[in-house]
Amino acid sequence: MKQYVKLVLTLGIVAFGASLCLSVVNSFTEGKIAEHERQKTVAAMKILFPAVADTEFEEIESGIYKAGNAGYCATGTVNGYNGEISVMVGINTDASIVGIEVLEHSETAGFGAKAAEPEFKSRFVGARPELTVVRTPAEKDSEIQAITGATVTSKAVTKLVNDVYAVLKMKNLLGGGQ
Amino acid sequence: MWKTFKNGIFDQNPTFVQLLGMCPTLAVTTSLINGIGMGLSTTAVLVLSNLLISLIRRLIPQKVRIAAYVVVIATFVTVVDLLLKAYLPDLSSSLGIFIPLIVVNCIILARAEAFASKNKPLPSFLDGLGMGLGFTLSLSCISAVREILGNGTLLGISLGISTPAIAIILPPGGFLTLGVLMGIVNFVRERRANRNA
Amino acid sequence: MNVEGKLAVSSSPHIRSKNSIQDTMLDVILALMPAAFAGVYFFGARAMSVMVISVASCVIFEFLWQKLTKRKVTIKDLSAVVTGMLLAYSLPASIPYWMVVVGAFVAIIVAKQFFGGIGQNFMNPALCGRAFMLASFPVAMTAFPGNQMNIFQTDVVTTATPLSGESLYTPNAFHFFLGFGKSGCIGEICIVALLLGGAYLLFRKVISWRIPVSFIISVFLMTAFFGGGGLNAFEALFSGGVMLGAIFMATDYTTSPVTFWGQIIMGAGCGVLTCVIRFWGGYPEGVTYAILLMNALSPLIDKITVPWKFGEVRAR
Repeated sequence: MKQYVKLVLTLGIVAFGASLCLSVVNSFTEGKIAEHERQKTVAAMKILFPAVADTEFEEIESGIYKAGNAGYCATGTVNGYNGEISVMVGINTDASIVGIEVLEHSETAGFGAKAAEPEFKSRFVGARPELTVVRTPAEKDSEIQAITGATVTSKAVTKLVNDVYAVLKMKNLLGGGQ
Repeated sequence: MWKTFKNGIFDQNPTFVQLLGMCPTLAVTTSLINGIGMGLSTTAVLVLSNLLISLIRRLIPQKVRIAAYVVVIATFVTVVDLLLKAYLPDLSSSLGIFIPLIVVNCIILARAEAFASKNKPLPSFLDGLGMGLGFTLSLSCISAVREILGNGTLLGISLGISTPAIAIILPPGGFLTLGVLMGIVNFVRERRANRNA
Repeated sequence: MNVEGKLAVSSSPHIRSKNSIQDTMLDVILALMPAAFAGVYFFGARAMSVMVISVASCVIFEFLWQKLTKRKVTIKDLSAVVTGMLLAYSLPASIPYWMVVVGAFVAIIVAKQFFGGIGQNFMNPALCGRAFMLASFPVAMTAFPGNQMNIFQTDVVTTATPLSGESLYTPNAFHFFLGFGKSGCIGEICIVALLLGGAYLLFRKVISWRIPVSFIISVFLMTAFFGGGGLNAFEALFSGGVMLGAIFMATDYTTSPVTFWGQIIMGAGCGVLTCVIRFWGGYPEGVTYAILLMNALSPLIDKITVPWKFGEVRAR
């Protein structure tokens, strides 16, 4: 019996010491970590809404930010060709797309990776969901031209934008609908 | 003393000779900065855990030995993880999930079991330092090769190679590079052993 | 039998005639000639230079390795030449020359010499080189110089291959058979040429019909049954690397099973995998990876297809 007490006690003391150490470190790093997270998100939103000041971005729901009076920002993830793609979508109050920022992806260089390049991103500026993907240069606001050789990626990103739009619309955040 | 430290760098190099910690080695060595960052983080944990485990080695009964060591290691890894997230966030997101995975990096538990639980604090400290630096060295070699051949950069600076061989940065390249370097290291070790024999 | 370049008894190739490795390789080189002419006819002089550079690099790398590791130099057995030709045949004619050298390096040094040289490799060296290049240089490896203009041309001077899903003018299977109306790698274009080579190899008993036939039949059946994305079964057969792979790559002695059923299984497996990758995988062409995967399975296939001796009682 005595030996079991010793085992439990020793482990207990080790675990206690560990928790103490961790709570101390956590207390002085917590704030900094949260600050970094916010800064990363704000930096991405600034690219889409350069005119809005840092402090005017406020999170109204998990992942959805109000960008001052200019519009809304939301981040979503979708399955691309080679893994998940994380994209931030900016939408104006009149329901047109401000633009997109590709936050994370693991697509193939020279093909799907082109989704993160200005050429592809610019195709979303001013677009009006519900978007469809086409091969030829877009003729209407609701068409997005695909990347040569990266149809899967192009379709995935477009679907994501459509989904984000649908979510925001459902929450009645976009005035006037379309 | 010096021998304890030197051991981990070449003769008993964790990566090329003991073949410990293969998983983070293959995953993290896609750029030199990542390799060095991972190596130094592991060294920090290794040194701290070796030291503490050596200090308390007489106090922990045999039966709960492994459980206690794992708690100690996990604590130090979490501390390193929190510190990185707070003060070096870019490195932290670059290394991603592999920092928490240092807990299961065989090197740490292996050295705790094989050395720190049986030796005094100072030698344990030196062993941890030697093994950690040996690991860092091997990670740096592998990542340098992979970054130069597979990405055309070193430390993020472009070397002017317009189309690098992407496969080197992908998993197959990791295995190939590791294998070739391991072959070279062991070839040199054998030659040295033959000469000294 | 006093034969130059004799191999260790335990591994393939087990050559059952009086031929040496060199004789076999000469037959293969001869069989590959029609496809070489076809490649030059459709893609011009550059196809020729790619072939020359590939063969030269393979031979030089084998020579250098064997010299530096103080082994016997075996370039006279011409196996490096065959690897060089097969590698070149599976590349687009517009591939930059230095990439060809990289591919040759991987094929000869990594896939072949690291494992012990001829007879010891477990994967087809030319295909290993190609697979490495495909993963390393995806843009260059999928840019095919045209013999037709793609009507959906945008910025890149690429031509669609029949498998890439973009439509050309509507050729039919007969066009494909001759090599017109499609683009692709140097050696896979002209089916007639490949079949001629295959017939020669069958006649000279260098290859057996089992692997190529089962490979081709399974591709045909899979495509007919599941629908080949706009191509009918014959067109699918004559597109991409199926013919080249079935006749010349999958039949490599070292990396394929030796038993009768083993070879049928391997051919069928290659065909099925090729189609699975083409229809449901992310790549337009699946032959390379299909053959490499079956190469890896070959020893296992051999093990399970060892013929039962009559009257033998299996140990439980």
